[in-house]
Amino acid sequence: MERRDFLRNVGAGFGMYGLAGVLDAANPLAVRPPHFEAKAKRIIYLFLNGGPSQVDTFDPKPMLAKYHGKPMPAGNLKTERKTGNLMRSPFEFRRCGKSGIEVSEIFPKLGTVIDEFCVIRSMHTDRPNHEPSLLLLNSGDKLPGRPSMGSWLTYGLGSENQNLPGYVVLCPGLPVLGHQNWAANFLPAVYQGTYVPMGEKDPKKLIAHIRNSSLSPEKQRLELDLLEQLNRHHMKKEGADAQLEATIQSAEIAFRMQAEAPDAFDITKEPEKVRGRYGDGDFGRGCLIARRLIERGVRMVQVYFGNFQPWDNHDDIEIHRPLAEQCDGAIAALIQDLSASGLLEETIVLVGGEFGRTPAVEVGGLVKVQNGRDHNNHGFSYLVAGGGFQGGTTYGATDDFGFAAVEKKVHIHDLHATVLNQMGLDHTKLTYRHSGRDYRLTDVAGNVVKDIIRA
Amino acid sequence: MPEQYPYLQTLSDKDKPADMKVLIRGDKNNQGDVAPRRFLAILSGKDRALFSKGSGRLQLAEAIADDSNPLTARVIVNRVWQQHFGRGIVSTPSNFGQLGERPTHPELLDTLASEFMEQGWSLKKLHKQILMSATYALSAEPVEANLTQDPDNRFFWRANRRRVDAETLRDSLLFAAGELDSAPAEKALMLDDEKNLKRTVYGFISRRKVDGTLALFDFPNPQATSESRMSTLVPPQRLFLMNSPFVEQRARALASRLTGTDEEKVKQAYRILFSRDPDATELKLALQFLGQGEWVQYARVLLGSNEFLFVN
Repeated sequence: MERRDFLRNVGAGFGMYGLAGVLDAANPLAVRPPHFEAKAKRIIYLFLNGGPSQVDTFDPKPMLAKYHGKPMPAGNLKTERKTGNLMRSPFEFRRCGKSGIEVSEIFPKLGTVIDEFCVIRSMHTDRPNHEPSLLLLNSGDKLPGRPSMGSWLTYGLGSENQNLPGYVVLCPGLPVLGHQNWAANFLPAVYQGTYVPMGEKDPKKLIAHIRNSSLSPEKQRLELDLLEQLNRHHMKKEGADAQLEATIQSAEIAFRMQAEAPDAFDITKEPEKVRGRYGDGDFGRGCLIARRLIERGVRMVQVYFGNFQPWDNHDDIEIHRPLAEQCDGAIAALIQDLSASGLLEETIVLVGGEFGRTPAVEVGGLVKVQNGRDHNNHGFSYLVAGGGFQGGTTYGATDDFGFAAVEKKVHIHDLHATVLNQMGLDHTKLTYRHSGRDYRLTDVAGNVVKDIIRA
Repeated sequence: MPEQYPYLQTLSDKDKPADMKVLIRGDKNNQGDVAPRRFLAILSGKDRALFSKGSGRLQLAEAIADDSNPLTARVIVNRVWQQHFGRGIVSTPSNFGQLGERPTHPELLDTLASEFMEQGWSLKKLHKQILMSATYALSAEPVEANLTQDPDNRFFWRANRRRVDAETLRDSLLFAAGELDSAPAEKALMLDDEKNLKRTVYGFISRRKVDGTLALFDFPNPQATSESRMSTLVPPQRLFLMNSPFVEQRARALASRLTGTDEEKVKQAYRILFSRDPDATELKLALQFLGQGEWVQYARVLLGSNEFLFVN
């Protein structure tokens, strides 16, 4: 069977391709034109997994100090666990940059680049639990089974570098739900995120088996050619299959990765001074690698803060301080470098977690210290820089205590719609037919938030 | 005491078992109301009796396995089905509640569950029943009309093609190479130890750092429970198949098992790996390749081929 037939047949997907561009039948990762002129070409998504607290980071609430230890006047909203009285932030906020946006003292370096960020203070999502919220932020639905945003983007736009995966995920260990967070699900499997564990400091060991110790590239090419011939022959007998096709594609990318990945992932090629600014931690190295991948045309890089859910500080919010210390410098360095090279113009940098935290102290959980906060899907903050977003501004607001978004609310579907818009994609038109209907990242919702993007 | 010794864990009741308070979110410093020992209200109603014999542990086990409680049998039957077909009759195996998916074949699930109970909860008989079904015997061959109606194969009109999981892959590579030591291991063995030729099930699993190859092939995070495996198909997996010393060693061993002329050796390789002879095209490609490449390379290509990596 010819590749063209394959693409027509598999899941009836490409037949419904929602873009005007002609699909390069030979290569599912070939660059495809957007729906309209794009402001941004690439995304770096810094995922602070676990749920950072908005009232301790980017959404100052002086009323919390006034009402510290007192009940929330209107009563607490329902979250996962039992919460008690309001609790002031142990951190001070300072006005930063020309914009004077207030940032918590635990992010001093990020504060110096706050003029590049639009701080969305009115985010909200549907569930106060990690798993559904991780899925909502990554795939727009609370249950597993939908493609992740990175998969939608590489499906819609391809990737500008054919020697590297188009969608790379960096994480020390695994976040909650692991690979499900970057799954392609019903999109062709070639669009799933390529996960690189960040626990390894030696760049030569970071991508396991990146070199063959005994074969020349020419001899190895012979192997790959035979492999493809046998796999194509096999698929001809078995019938078209998205998974069989995906391994054929990924073998080609793997072969080409050998030439480019060692350099792209090798941060020792950066001057020591630069590495120092990002820091030696897993997240800092991840940010630096993300920059190097974006410079090479990778469509989307997602950097998870850490294994499992480090920001999930139910019992003691003070732990936010050392956590912030591990990412403050790296985020600032990334923004500075992208800004200096001009890449920030066309690169969206997202910073945030799966939800925020309650302004009220948690009393239903591990209460030895009782200085922590519960999950909060009603209101939280997201930072967005570059890619045509309005830097140096804040948007929307939570109530007086920071519990729920009340003003100019931004649902995660709205965030997704806006991000796709900046990438030149109409979120209502980027569709894939599956199980008898067209699916989109934003399901049947989502509005582009025009006030946070430059005209 | 010797370092390793055979042992069996047992439980026995206290002399005076007592009711405990609810420990909210498992914290002994945060106690709620006393919870009298009895079965779950959602399965046995509000007026259910208290457990009266000893600690109630045996009664709890009996209630879980009671014929009048269909949930236990449904759940395990669904998990076994999922293991054989790649998807359960209920596709959310840990959630049979409101937020879970509905069963695609509720009558089948109940039939399997009730027969499973009638057959004395024998997993072996359940496996046999599923494996001998007409549904299990279906091939993965696509049918145009069915693809249009049910592209996800929710109704099991064909077999789901599935990439082998991490453990199966490692075991299969060792087996094809003729090196698998199938005798049980006496203790957990490191999987990155090149001398370890035992089955992967005897591998040492660290909760802090999962073995790299297992992780590469979607072994779940051991810090959390996992109801099913993901099955990714990404370039780093191919790098393992192309470049790792582990696969190189298996390819060498496989190549050295084969004897006779090139053609005979190719046929042997196909019989070992795929339980069939190569067709004319495959034989031609093999002999062409062997004119330029080496046997180890050829063996590695077969060990990394889709026919080896997927089960239909």
